[in-house]
Amino acid sequence: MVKRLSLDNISKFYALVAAEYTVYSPSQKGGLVSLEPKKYFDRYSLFKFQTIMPPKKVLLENVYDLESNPKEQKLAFFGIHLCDVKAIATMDRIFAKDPFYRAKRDDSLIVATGCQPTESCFCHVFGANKHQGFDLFIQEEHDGMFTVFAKSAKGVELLQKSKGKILMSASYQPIGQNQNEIDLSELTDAVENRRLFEQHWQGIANNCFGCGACTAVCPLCFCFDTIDRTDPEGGNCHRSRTDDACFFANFSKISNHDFRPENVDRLYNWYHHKFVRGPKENGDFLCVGCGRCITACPANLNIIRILSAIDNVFDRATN
Amino acid sequence: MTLGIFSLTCCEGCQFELLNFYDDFAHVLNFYDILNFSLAQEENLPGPFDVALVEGTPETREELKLLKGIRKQSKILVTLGTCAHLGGIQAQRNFKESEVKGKRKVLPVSKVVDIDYAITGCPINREEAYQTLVDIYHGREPYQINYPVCFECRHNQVKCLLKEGKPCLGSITRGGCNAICTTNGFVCLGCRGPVEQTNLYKIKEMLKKYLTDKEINQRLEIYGEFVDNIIKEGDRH
Repeated sequence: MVKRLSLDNISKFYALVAAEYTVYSPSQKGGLVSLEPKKYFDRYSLFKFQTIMPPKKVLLENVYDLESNPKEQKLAFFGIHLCDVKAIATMDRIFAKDPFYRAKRDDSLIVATGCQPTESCFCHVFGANKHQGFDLFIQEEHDGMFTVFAKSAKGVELLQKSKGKILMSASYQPIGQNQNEIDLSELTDAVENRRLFEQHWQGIANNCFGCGACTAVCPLCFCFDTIDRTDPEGGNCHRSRTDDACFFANFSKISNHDFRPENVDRLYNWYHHKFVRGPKENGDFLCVGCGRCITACPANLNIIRILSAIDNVFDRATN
Repeated sequence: MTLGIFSLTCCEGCQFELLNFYDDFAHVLNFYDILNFSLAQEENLPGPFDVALVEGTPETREELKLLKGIRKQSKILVTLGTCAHLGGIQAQRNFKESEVKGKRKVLPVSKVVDIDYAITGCPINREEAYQTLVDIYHGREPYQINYPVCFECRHNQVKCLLKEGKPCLGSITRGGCNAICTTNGFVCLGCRGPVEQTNLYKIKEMLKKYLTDKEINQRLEIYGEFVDNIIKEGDRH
């Protein structure tokens, strides 16, 4: 079902969604645009640029007590971009059996919107600019009106309640893309052959802090740590799940043995998981090309340049 | 169990931080009898203690004697705050040529006696301190965060200050403070000490864009002994 809505009606539609769901939407906070729970529509709800954190911030929140029963929640993501929608689809496969993820995701609603490519994003490389995986899609037209596409039963039901002209046919505007290109055909082989490029990886690791900022903002990084916390009030112990990242020294330490002792091992592991193990286990790269890691990296490392360089070195080595 | 809380040379801010929210501190008192806490109680006993918390650095002969006495009297010694952990502000004296002859070097507590655990920060994160005390009571190894401030800073949905041209040390500094400074727009000064296995050479290289060599060294002095080599050596070859 496709409807054409005015800005006023979009705002009413937002209220309709907010009546039923807890809506997370891009919001302005101290001059920055972040993903926050918000009750009312404003101009940031359909923001063309990325939020700093992807929806994983909400879906993979820390769990204080893993032995408790997860609370069913009705969440809606309003105004997220197609790269994040694809990341959620991949995450659904990875966390298919996780009760805490399912409790948040099963009844959730995704309202996607179009975006403006930044200099650091490269979603077309991974096919993350396709219009799929959402319940509703809001497209801004040139005349200031909005075309709303409903893809799922949940979406159609909501859209029927809103005022607007029903369109018989409408087409998606293609998502803009920039010049960033990575050759994916040999990427898996190139990343897998660490021995060929030991020097190359070492060079990157020398310029990396190992701070894990890239993993914090990546929509498909989901490492966690399970720790026992004692509640100071009653003295009861809880097994809790907190964010962690493969870049940290403690992550690969087991019984005082470190499986990845150097930063170069940990950095390599990140790329290996995203471009070798990920496709093998889930059939998809664990990267959607949102470019958040490039924006977040304090050491100015650039995943596009690193992958292109590896491709080039591999080409030279094999041909 | 019995607890002693001691202060050597410092601002005593960490002790105040423990008492800051008395309701939370009262939960810890369910597990511990405080025998010595001269900031908060009048009658203090010399020991023995199951756990001793020590803040500050030993500067005078009396303080050195007191610290060694505490070590003898207590089963577990935990340092409190940056001064006890790395030397703090007063340890910056070690990096300067002294005007007074024969002045002793400032030593953090761990260089004088053996310590069991360290609660870091200036001031400490009181929740971390309560958690550590409760964990020790239950015979559990306290959980110590070993990731940089950057990770928490990104989770708080703020932009990178280092990229904006501000000399922030968050990328090499141990987290656990919930990135309170950087989230509010102030650069990280590195009070919690360096995270394990970090890239100190890279931060020096990054800061060169914004600061002079002398200023960079001054900023890194907060890490105490960890940066001795880096300040003396200069650049990586």
